[in-house]
Amino acid sequence: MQLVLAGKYIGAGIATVGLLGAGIGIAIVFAALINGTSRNPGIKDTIFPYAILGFALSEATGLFCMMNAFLLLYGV
Amino acid sequence: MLTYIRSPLDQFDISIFIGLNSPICDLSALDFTTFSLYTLIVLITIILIYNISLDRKLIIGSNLLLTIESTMDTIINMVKGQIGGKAYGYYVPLIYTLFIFILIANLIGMIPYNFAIAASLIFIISLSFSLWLGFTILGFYIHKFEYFSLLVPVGTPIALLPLLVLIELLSYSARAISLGLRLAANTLSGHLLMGILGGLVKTLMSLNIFSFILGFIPLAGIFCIVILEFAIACIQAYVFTILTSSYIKDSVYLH
Amino acid sequence: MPQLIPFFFLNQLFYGFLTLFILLILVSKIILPYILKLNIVRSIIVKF
Repeated sequence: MQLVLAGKYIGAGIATVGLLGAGIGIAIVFAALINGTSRNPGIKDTIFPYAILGFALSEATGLFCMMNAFLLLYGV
Repeated sequence: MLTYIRSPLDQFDISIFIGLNSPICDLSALDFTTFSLYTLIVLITIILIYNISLDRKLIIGSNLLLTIESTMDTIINMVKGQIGGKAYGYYVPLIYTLFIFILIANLIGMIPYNFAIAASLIFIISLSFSLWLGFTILGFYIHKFEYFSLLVPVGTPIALLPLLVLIELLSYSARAISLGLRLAANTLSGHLLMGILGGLVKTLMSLNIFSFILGFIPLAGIFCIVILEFAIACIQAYVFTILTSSYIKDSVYLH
Repeated sequence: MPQLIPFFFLNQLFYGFLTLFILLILVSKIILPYILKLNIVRSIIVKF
């Protein structure tokens, strides 16, 4: 029983590693937004919604990992 | 005092307020539960907002009408940008309804001690699955068997075709789940995160007077996370609708 | 996971889709036509 509990906690910890990719993704999205804005400030209103969309999409992939961790901790 | 740590998932518990039973058939689907209470609250909130703002026969309108008009302009411009063409007006009411429902439900869920509708996986995933089924049927209705050309990317070499069709079919079918799972996972993990951090800070601050003063530093961090959750509540409603309209564009115009 | 109790599945689906259906009718019959009429009135006033 203790071993199952330990496996649960270790699994939840390992599931959090996936947030690494989400962090890189969000960083790339906002770096590209800053790049684009500094090259052509007039285009900011056009690309800002796409940046928000990209932020939300890449953040959601990270949150799937986080939801897995929470499921392992409290759901199972 | 006897305290025990409750699971942070307790905030999504559904309890029955008015139970219906009949000897003839099973009426448990019509029970008045927490979920139905909150759908009712969302409906009444939306009706009240529109009743207050649209009631006056003014051309300029109040500040509330300005808010509503700006959300409506956002949605109409988004649908026009995504779907385009002549037929985009048919899809505006559906997408506007989805936007306003998810937005109000998320914002009501952000009030402390309230129930978040969007965190109930079954309802949101069945909503996205029925939307997916709807625009698949729409595509077959408009394009008949040519609709299968959605599965073939333009300009593929003939040798790669069987593999690519399988991959595209997989990604097309995964839309049904991923559209709803994105919203549900965002809301679920956001509320769980706030619950867990709030519990941790409460235990820290109730130790002694020194830790009570020290506890204000993580409390500021939690405040930032709450602001982020408010932003996510609005962004996710926007993302759900923008993805729905882009999928509708795929089935109306093929690519 | 309290969301995944099978007893409440039909209940959630019934009330959720009922609310969405009422809201869809409300939006497409009352709210959107009202704002459309408002915009038409405004554009007529601006023209003259």
